[in-house]
Amino acid sequence: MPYWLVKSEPEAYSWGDLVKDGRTSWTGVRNYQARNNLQAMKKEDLVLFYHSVSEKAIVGLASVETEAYPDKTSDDPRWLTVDLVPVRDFKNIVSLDMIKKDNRLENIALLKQSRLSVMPLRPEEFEVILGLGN
Amino acid sequence: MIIKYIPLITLILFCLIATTCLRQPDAHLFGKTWLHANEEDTDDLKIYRPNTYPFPPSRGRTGFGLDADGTFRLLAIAPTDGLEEHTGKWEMVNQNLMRITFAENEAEDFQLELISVTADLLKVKFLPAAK
Repeated sequence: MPYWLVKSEPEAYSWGDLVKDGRTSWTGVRNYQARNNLQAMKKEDLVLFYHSVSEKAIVGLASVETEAYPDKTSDDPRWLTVDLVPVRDFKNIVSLDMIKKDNRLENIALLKQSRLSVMPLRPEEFEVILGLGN
Repeated sequence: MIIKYIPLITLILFCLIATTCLRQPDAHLFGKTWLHANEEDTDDLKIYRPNTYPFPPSRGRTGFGLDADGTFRLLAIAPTDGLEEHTGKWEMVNQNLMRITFAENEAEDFQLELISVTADLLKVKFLPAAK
């Protein structure tokens, strides 16, 4: 099963918002590589939720509920979104500093392509982060 | 001699003033940033609210702002997900239609049909630029 990481500024849409809403459409992606990653997501793929900018930490685990479809916040049909649902909180948030210091995560896309907002993870990276978070 | 032209001059002045007034957009439009309330869109209308409005949390809320001096500020989503501003100009085509233009490669020109505007609600249609 592929694993993913998505970023969101908590001031715009936080993990708490997703938990409260129970489901959200991951709109607002306007980067082609990130869009292609959304398009590759399959139902029930697991997705790490990262708070960017102000917190810089992975805070929860979500899953893909609905595969890619046109983003209604854009009039351009090239932009896509998926629906995510929360799976569980992280008992311990996994900060960017923790990730940088862990040799097992030295090749993670979060560090290699720091401006990308939707990225794939290797299964071993996903397992390491899940271990750190719980 | 000139007295007999007074009605004509008055009529011309009236028409000029009326035309000018009709082309002035509603003052509520200016001095604020309008954000897309996509949750309230209808099939053919786009709904905007001032950025002070208590929107539900959302990723990807675009918008625009207009200044009375003819400046138009388009807020689009950047490839890094944040908002990026593109500055252009607006001018009235008629009472309800606004022409929005940008410098080359800044953004695509378009027309904005103003359906209604109040202090906290703006209903518009986006139209392609006239050729």
